Amino acid sequence: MVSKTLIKLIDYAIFPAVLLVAAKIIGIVFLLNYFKVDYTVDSYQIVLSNIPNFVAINTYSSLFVFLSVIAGLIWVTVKAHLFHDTHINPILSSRLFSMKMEEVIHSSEVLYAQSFVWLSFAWLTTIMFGIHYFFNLSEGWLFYLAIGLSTLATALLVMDIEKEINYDARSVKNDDDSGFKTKVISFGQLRKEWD
Amino acid sequence: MKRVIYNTGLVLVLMAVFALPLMGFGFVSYQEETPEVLGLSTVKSTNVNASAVSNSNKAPEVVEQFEYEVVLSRDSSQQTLYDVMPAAYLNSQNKFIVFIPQEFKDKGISVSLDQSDDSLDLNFASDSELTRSLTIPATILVLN
Repeated sequence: MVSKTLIKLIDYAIFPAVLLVAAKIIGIVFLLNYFKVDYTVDSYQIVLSNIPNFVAINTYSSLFVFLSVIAGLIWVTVKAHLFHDTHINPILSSRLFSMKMEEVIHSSEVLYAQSFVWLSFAWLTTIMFGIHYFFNLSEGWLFYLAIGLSTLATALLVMDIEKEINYDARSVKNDDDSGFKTKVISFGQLRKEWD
Repeated sequence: MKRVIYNTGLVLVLMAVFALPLMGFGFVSYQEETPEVLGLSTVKSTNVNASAVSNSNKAPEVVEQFEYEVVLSRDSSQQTLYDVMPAAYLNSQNKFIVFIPQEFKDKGISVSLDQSDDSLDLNFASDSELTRSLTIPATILVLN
């Protein structure tokens, strides 16, 4: 009835969303105390009376947010390149299974959903930094840094998708040559089949 | 139809989850120190040593210097600050000159004085809405 893809996306997006809000709030509180900036609390907002202080606090707390996004993106990109079940190194795969760490190997479905979520957050925060920079609410270097790293992460994940597409194309070609259908199975499945 | 409605609901939930971190950006805010309405935030007066600038040719002497920081309203291109001079200086012998820094003139802001018997008014004119919200330092010299 309902789309499993959408449910998975929502499921994967909740943790990053909460993480980013927490990073922003923790960043603001930490910086206010670190720089000993005067502030007042108005309902749910922290109000600063000095514009340069506001710009500094906003910029560096946004940096906390972006570092969280980068951490997520690095994790997803590493998984996509090293622990993707379609092109994982067999030696690494067997080692992971022997150490009972097969959970770190992910299917394309999981990796692409997570990549979509983290990349969306990366670009959303980049757009937000751009808006802040445009209205002089934060410094420009943060926006340029965000745009550079988001582009790099997008390129790396596109490269992984290309690998996947090439893999599929090779599989189809092999099928045609031999007349047999190929099937990708994990070591876990192989072990089950052997048992 | 039900399927479309359910999935639309899921898309809305996904959008809300994506929008959640953006709420964090509103957690910190600032309040400008000066109000964005027509008014004077500070007035400073300096008694100038008249003998230092006077000469034998009866050149005008600067007897007082008033410095203002003027916050203009965004709402109007022509704005007047009324009665900016203490009554003691408003006599027929005194003359008044106003000036603002060149950078504000370059931005299209002009300033002038309107003198009558019992008041001196400061007029500002600006064509651009952006420049109207600036805080402008203005100096009035009282010459005798």
